[in-house]
Amino acid sequence: MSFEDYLKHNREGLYDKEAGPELWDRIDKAVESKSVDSSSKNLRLVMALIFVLIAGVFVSYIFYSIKQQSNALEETKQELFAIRSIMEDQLQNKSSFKRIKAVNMSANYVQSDPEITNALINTMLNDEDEAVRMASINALEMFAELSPVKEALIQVLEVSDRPFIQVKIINILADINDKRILPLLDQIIDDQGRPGYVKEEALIARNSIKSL
Amino acid sequence: MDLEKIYKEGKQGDRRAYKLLYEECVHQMLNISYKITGSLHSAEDVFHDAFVKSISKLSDLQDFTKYKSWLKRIVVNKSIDLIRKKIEWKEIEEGDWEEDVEDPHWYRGLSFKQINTCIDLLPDGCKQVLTLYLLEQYKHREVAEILRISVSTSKSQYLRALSLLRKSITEKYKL
Repeated sequence: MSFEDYLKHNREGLYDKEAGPELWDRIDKAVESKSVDSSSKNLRLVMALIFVLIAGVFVSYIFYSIKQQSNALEETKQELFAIRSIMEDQLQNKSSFKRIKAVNMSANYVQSDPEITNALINTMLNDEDEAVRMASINALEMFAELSPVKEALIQVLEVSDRPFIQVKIINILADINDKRILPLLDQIIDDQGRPGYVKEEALIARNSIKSL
Repeated sequence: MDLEKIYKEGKQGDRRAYKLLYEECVHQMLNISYKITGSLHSAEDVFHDAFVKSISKLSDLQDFTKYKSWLKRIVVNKSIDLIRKKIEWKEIEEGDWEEDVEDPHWYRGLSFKQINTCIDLLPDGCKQVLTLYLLEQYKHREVAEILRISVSTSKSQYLRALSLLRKSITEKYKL
């Protein structure tokens, strides 16, 4: 047997080194830490999947809500448009009863639609029937603090010759304590042609506003 | 030892199976690495990294019969990476060649320890080729690929290794 063959067949004899006793411990620890790493990677993966799932549900919910809101808004717009059309049509009706009905129906939409507010103000200022004008004042009473409504009420008080309308408006303006009407109230108090109960309401209103 | 069973249990993360795989492989792999790197400490580090890597990739291996050769390749590559920069591929000189030996059994009476001592003294380059080609039975083509040298360099380094080894042994032990 040649030297070469001898070495080839006696490899085991030439491999005489032995591993130190701590080598397996080192490997065992490294394998354990890799396994922990792998577990924590899996955990992170699961957490990430849950997060993505929750985020997906959340985004879908938001998207759905926005769509719902958008639909609701569109429905409201369409409803307002329909009511406005009916009201404008009804306010032109010859029947005072139908006009009062239109005014009462519109009262619920004053805050939602400036055009309905303007239509009611217009009716309050110009309708030929005192009952219809009074219905408009009643409809606008809750919104007297809105600037266009307040201006219109003052304007009606200045021009109207109807005592019941004057009393109603004096009460409304006194309730919102608008000091700008004080000169107007003084005029009414001093006006000899006004009915006594109108002047009396004006006096009470003026004292009430001044006392605040 | 039922390697297939150990391998299957190892694939499922059984650490007792890892220990059995370790016991099955550590002796050979450590010695290959030692022969290449020339340092037991480096060989242990190499085997540690290679074995941990093989365990973490165990599920990628389809055929358990290839586990040892796969691990061996990792060990060899890591060992070579450690010493690659140290190797100077010297041209073969005339004095490096041994003439034909009259007595083919000139090595009689030598212990493995004595032979190992002289293998350890071989210069880097031919020592690694000798280990891979002669002891680990790689082909010259594979040795060339592992060491990133030409096939002819692998062959000539191998012959040089044999020649230097014989010279070293005869001189050292007065044969």
